[in-house]
Amino acid sequence: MKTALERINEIVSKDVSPWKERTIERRKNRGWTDRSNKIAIMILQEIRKQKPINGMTQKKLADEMDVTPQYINKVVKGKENLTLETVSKFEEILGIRLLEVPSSKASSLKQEEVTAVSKSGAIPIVKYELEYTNEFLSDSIGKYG
Amino acid sequence: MEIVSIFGKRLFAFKYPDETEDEFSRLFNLWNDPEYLEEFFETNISDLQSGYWSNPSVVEAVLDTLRYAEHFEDILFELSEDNEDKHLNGLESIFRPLFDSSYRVWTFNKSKVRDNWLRLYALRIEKDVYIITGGAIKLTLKMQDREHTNIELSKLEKCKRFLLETGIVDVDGLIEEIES
Repeated sequence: MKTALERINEIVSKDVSPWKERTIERRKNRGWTDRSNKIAIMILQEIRKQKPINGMTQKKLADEMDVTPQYINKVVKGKENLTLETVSKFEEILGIRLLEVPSSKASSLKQEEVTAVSKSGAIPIVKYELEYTNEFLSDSIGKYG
Repeated sequence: MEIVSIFGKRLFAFKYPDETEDEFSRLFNLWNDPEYLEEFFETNISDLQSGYWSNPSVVEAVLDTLRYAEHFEDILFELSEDNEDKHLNGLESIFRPLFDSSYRVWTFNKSKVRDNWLRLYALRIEKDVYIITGGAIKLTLKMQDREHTNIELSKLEKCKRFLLETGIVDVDGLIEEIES
């Protein structure tokens, strides 16, 4: 007599669930999707807040950003790897701050001024060096490692 | 209604005719979707902030859910990477009976995924063999309390009937399970 498992295997679909393939992809992209998800939530909450005031919707936001509604939908699903230019555009249109560079606790900007001489005269060149503290690194490793 | 293999040879999920994907895959898509989650928690804000949980804001709830789903997925992914023998034991250890073992309905063992509101529901066909019937974000104490969790109970019943009607399990098998 056949077992229940054998009977299931007789009728099981030829298609395998896409779950594992998607999970591999999600795990690979966690570094940036963690941030894009946070940005998505902030945009969604802002649209919700502004809707009764100025009728903001995903469609209206798309019009004001001069992008397609499909693009906005991809952003609010956290699936768009945003450029800084696009983030700035969202910030400008929605009037909110979406991205902050880590504070001095997490990182520090070491400014080293070097003076170079060009043909047209002395031009100060400012060199910035981003120094991550151990605290910031260990946090990242703990989360994504 | 179809039965789809998730990974290995012993974990399956139902795919309902009105859905484009099996329940397992569909749920993880939703639990990784900030737009869906934001809408869900805004709609269910009174349950979220009823005191049953620690009154999180919608933003906190969405971020927590994304984190829970990630952890949940990691456990299952590790199982899927294991060899056959190992993951048989793995499946047995991650599911627990849903209601006092009164029938073969199992849910994900909470201790394995911390104390959170994500639920996967499965029918245990025999030892080490599970079919996922659905899942939910359960914010209230009882499944009967809300429509979206109550629907999951109907789905479980529908799947049980399907398994009986197609002869995958028989009534005797169910009774034995009830008594065990």
